Amino acid sequence: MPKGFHRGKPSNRRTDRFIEDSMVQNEKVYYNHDNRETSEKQKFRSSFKSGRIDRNRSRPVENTRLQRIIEQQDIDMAGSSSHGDSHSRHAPYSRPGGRKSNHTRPQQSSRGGSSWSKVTIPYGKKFEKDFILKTLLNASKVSFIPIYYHIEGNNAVFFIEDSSAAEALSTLNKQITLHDGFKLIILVKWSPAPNLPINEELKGKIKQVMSRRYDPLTKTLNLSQFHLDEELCTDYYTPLSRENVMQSVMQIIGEHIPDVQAIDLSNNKIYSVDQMRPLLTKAAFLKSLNLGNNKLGQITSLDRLQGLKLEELILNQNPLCDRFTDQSSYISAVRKRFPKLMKLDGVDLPPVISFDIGTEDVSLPPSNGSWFVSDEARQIVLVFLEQYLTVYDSDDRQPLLNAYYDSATMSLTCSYPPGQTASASSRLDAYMKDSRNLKRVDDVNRRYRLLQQGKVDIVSFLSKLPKTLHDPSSLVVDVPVSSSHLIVMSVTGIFRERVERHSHIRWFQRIFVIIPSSGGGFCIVNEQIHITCATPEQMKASFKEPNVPAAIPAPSLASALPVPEPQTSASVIDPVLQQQMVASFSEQSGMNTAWSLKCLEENGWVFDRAAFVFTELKAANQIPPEAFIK
Amino acid sequence: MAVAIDKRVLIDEACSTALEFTKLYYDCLDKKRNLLCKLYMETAVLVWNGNSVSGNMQIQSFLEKLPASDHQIVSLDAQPIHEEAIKGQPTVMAVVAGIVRFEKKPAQPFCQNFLITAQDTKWKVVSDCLRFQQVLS
Repeated sequence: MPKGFHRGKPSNRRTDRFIEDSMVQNEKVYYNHDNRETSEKQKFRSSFKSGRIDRNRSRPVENTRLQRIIEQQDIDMAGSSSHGDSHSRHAPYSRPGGRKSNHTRPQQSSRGGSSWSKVTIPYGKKFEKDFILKTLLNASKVSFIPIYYHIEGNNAVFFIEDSSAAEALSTLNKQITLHDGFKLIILVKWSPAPNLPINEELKGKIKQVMSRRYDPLTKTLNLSQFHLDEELCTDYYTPLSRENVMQSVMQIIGEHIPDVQAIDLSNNKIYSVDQMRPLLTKAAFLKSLNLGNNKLGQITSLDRLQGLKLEELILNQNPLCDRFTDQSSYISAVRKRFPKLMKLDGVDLPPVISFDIGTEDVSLPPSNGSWFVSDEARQIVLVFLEQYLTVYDSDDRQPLLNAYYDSATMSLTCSYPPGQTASASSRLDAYMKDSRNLKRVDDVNRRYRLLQQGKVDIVSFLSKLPKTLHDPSSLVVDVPVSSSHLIVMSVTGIFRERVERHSHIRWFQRIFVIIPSSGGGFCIVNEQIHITCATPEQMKASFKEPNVPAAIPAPSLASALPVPEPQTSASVIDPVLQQQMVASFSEQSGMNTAWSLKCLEENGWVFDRAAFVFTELKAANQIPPEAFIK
Repeated sequence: MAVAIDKRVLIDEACSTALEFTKLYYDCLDKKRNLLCKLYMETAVLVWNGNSVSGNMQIQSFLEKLPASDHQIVSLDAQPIHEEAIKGQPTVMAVVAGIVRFEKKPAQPFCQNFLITAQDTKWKVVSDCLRFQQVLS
């Protein structure tokens, strides 16, 4: 945890060498409380000596310790986001008169003093990035993390956030002799933090790093010290304290890991949680949030995250903590915002005393997929739908005539999502004039006219609707009723309008009442369609698998629609196929071959119709026991 | 001619039945769930987002467990079920679209359809099928 980065006001710093030295002597006293960190630093020390670039812990031990010590002396920490600190400690080098370096910096009074430095290597373009960085890291007395290394003209440029490293680097100017005899010029300048826009490439990189930092087992996302991530920092600068970075991160969470349960955002200098608001909608299962060691100044700023069902929160080492004089008012203020909190800053909280009413589980039953009253109904309905939608999605809907009963009725309604006015891009104009919404259509005659009656009217009506393509994976089918008279099926799903220039995504519900038709198969007697705009989530999720065949399994043998051709051909299907059908029917029904053959024959060799009839008869106990003797 | 008029009456009646039914139904669902069982047939089937419940008492107890709700109906359509399918028992199909706000939950668009049949002199729900407008994972 590089606490040393975070500084209070740079002025009034005590810089006596004596004090520094005495602090070094006291170092153990200050340091012992965190053994883990000690070992990390020791690890670093060895890597530093070997010249390896260990970007995540590349601060020298002495410096970090000193900074920690001085910081702990420094009472005025809160509220300031500056970190122009260590310069004062390096007074021997940077004060006027004693200056040996080319390290120039502005007056400290300006904006509290940023500690960023821009390092320019003139003609650095001709060298490999690794070569330059290794050379500098080997030569520098102070290790550093190069950030956003890139080429500007002929120069190689990178940034460092650590001012003592900047000092050290500036002393190396013209000190390193290269193979060609030239001395390496190193220009170090005070600079604002690098600012780079987020393009698709960088977003992809961020996504990659997030994916590596996500543990799918524990559903934990670790974004601590994000901009210092090894994969990101050298080539980019991606601090989560910056709006555009946080926005991208939130977007990626919403798109890829909406079931995340814990996010660690500690050590990121975050001063506002405003950009984290998408968590409220995009991370419904988030239970644990670590905002430790950031720059959050006011407890009220957390109001923006109210509604998160956090059970665990870490806020320590934020300026807001220092504003509370006692622990209980701190806990109470945090709990007011996150009533379900059980752990704050790693400490279990006492349970809340509440009323029995109002706290009970108000969760809704989870939504499940398609539901069928029976397996037979499932078979019939799925085959029926598959065939119906194939024709419906084609360029010619006329063949649907076969799917409707002569005097069938059909009507359509459409509506915009409530409370949402139609935007030009999603207008339901193509349906609105035919919408038989009884809430709006009061006139009895108009209600009558808007009901399409007879299969010819229905199919010509359907033929005028926009051409469609249904997303098979979006279809959800419910069959609540199936008897020997009728089957009621309700289908919801997504289709795309195949209209030139724009292709709107719609959500629909379609209810069919089908009855066994005299010619075999089934036909529609009643139908109602409701069409509305798809939600943004549905649009995102739709048509994800364009090459996957329909989600509806299509048994290959039978035709549920009373289409004439298959009917006639079914009566003359070849004996081999008939034998296969009998075998398959016998296996599924449990009846012997003779009775299976009889049942298939009597139902015109339409497999599913035979299955349906069989089920009905069996339920009515009308099949003699000998049918099952094999 | 007589047949045509009959049909008109049938269609008109289906519409008014559906309008009255939905008013009653959602009022019960939002405010008087203890009365819901009276609206369902004893053997009715509810399919609620893929969860099935059968029997009017079971359906009432399922719906009573849902968080407090507020339904707003945006669209309603109804038609009489074809006589071929029902063999002389008047039955109406009603299709509803709207938005529901459950307590402490964001507003949720939904679609629902009912089959309502005349049992003696009372209309009763045979089947009730509801789906939220959502992406199923």
